[in-house]
Amino acid sequence: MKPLTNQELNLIKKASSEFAGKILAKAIEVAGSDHFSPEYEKAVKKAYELDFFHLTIPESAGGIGAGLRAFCSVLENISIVDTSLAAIILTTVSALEIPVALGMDIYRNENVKEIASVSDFLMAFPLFLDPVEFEVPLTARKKGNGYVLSGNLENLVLGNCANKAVVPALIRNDSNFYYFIVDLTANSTHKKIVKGLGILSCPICDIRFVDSPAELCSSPNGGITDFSLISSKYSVALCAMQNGLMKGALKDALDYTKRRYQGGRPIIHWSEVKKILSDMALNIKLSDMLINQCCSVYENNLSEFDICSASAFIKTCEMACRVTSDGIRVMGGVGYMEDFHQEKRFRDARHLMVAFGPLQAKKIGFLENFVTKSAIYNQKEG
Amino acid sequence: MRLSNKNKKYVSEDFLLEFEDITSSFRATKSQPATIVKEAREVVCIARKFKDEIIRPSVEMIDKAASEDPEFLPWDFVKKANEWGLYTLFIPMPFGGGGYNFSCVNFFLEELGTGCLAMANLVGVHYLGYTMLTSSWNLKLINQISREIVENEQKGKLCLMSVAMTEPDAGTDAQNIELMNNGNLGCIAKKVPGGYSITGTKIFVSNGHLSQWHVVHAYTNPEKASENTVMLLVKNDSKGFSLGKKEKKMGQKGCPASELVFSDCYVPDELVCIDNTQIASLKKRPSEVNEQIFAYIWGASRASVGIFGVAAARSAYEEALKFSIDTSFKEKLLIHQEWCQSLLAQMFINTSVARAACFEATQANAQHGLWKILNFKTFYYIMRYTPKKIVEKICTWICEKTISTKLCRKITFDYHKDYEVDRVDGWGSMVKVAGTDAGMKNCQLALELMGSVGVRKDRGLEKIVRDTRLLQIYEGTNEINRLNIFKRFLQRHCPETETFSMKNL
Repeated sequence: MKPLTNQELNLIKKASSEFAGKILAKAIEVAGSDHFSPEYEKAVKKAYELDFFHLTIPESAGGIGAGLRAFCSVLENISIVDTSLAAIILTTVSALEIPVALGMDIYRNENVKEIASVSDFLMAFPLFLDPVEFEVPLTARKKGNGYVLSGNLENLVLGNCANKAVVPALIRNDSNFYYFIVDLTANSTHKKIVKGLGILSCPICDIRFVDSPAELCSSPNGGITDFSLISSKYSVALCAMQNGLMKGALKDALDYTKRRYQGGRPIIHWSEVKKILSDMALNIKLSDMLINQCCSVYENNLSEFDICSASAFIKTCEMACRVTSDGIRVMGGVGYMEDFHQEKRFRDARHLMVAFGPLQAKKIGFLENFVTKSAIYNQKEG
Repeated sequence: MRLSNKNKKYVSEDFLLEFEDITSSFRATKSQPATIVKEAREVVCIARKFKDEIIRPSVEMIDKAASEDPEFLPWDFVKKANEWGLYTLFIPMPFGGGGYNFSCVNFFLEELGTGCLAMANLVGVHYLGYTMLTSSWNLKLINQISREIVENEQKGKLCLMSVAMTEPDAGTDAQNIELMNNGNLGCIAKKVPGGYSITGTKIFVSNGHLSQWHVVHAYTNPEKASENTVMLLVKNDSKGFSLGKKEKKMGQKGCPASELVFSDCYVPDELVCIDNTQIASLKKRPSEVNEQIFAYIWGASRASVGIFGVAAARSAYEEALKFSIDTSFKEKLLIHQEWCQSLLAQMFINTSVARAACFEATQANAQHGLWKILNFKTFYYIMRYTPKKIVEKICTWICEKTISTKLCRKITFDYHKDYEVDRVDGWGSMVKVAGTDAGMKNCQLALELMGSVGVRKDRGLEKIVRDTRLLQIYEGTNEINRLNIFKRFLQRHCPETETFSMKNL
């Protein structure tokens, strides 16, 4: 995939920034950001019409092939206003990654006007599950030309508003797991809506499959390779979302500290407050650099991309948790209130941190990959 | 063991002062009445039973109801707490209360807090109001209100207290003497015949909508507020008083943060806790008296917020422990893996160290704070072993005498040592920061360990995370508390330094 020119990238950034500032912000103003409202659904549909769901999908598969960097900048701009929509886009795109790579024809950017509801284009995916290190709860059994899935899967993102999902399952007598496309509209699926800490406008549910028809959509190497591919690539997108959260937090913090008086002066003049704002800005700059580096490594197809994205994700999440907490800190009691957006960012940053598995588990798993990829640690003696 | 003459040359008064700053717990072993430990055991057992039978079964329901219904108030819960006698447990026995020593309140609050911080606050904030009332040393009013709380409880009626200090344009400014005069304080008390008329608004008043008495700080001259503060008691049915909105908070949703609106609200002199006319005979200036009152109140209340932080740290650790015992990673239970054991140990350390610091603050309060007279062994054992009716009668007789209030104020404000105020207030700030930071650290570690389980509403940890964040904000933000620690313990090394000063900007 050829990287975009700066001009093309800037156009995409501008489009996403305007969309977030006008359309998404309006949807939240009207109906709030604590549930998936009809107004929010309209914003999701608009995002689809603007091709935000097609950025990483190759042109040959019906996307626009803009690449990871463009995708990251769109998710970042959206997350400055609200992360839930970015999570919805990320989930769908993650779900499509392997089927599209296998050439399966399940996503075409055609007949946008014929789309009746968001269910027509959204794809559900267990964004918070690490099926490599933790138990895969679903099993698949051959039936006719396809498979049927059984079991209980928790935290299926978009499970109650997408028509299809891509989920991992174990095949009997096989130690590896594989990904399957499953129809969520079948009678054999039973859903229970789940509420969580953050990203409240991104619907999540627990789902029970009872011999639900499914189609295999894993690469020949199996689910472990597929998951590695998805998590490496979209961990960078998650970094961009966390960065958007941080930038939104700093913007609101700066606005507030210039207006709020204590001790007869705007609180931005208090050196302790300046120090906190400075820490926030430093973290944002570092995060910008990490995302930029990861995108460059990806565009140059370097073998160390997975350790770059893993390390960027771990550090950006830690920074985002600190910065969003500091965003509340500088605003005092007001920062804790639901009327302002800081508390939502605090919750969203912590919710995104658990994507693709717990952070502590990622830290443990990082070392092996790092040593393998880094020549200096692999030199033989003698 | 007496210090030998040859070693007396090593004694430095300055160093001894610093040594005593950090050894209240150690020194308490000789000065504290022995049966206080028994009292602590009792209140912990009461709290644990209340947590298991009342708090735990209703945590989820109350959080959900408060999220979905803006008008929801946890009346059922506060009535239950009243039935169990929780609102009079720590009211001193001479005033008709349960008489448990205030040194035990933090053990009690930690136990309640591990059930739910919001519900623990529904009990704790009542004692904040009570502490604020007692800091005025208006014995007649303290006796009157104490008896009203006790009598109402016996009749099954509620009589809770709240504290109204923060204003829309003055948060930190309302709580620090150095900042008040430059602040934008708007709650004005105008002297009228027979009392005061208050006009203004107070916000973020915990329990405001559930309380019957509100301890209000208002100002006769907001431009010199530090010298012109009035502490008054306002009852719910007062003319000119109304309850405003409830804030929509991220967490601790079960405990309302209320707006109180005063519109020419008349408060008779009998309900004025303390004002400049009452302290005219003292040597200290009104601003020095107000500073000392704040120091005592914050010294006690911040230690309690610190213990809420310990409760949060403990709850997060317990959730992480349960998760580790039930969950496999790389085909082995987490609890069997060293890195997880180490993480859990770190969470345990955070909790235990913060708790130890809180006990030091508790002892600093017990020996040097508002309630120190209750810890003098003679007084303690007289109250414990004299029949309650006799003590109450004597107490009421003493409290009715104006000379008693004047004498207590004279001793408290004119004869109290600066180092005692430093110790109480400084330790209050220290454990507020340490405890609440420990709570947030453990919440973060638990989320990092538990992944998607930790962020689900139905699994417990996400509520602890939301509730804990507020602890770093109320009772003075942690930033203000750090500056206060500098003022109380470090400024003495460079006396020309000022704190909370424009010169430091």
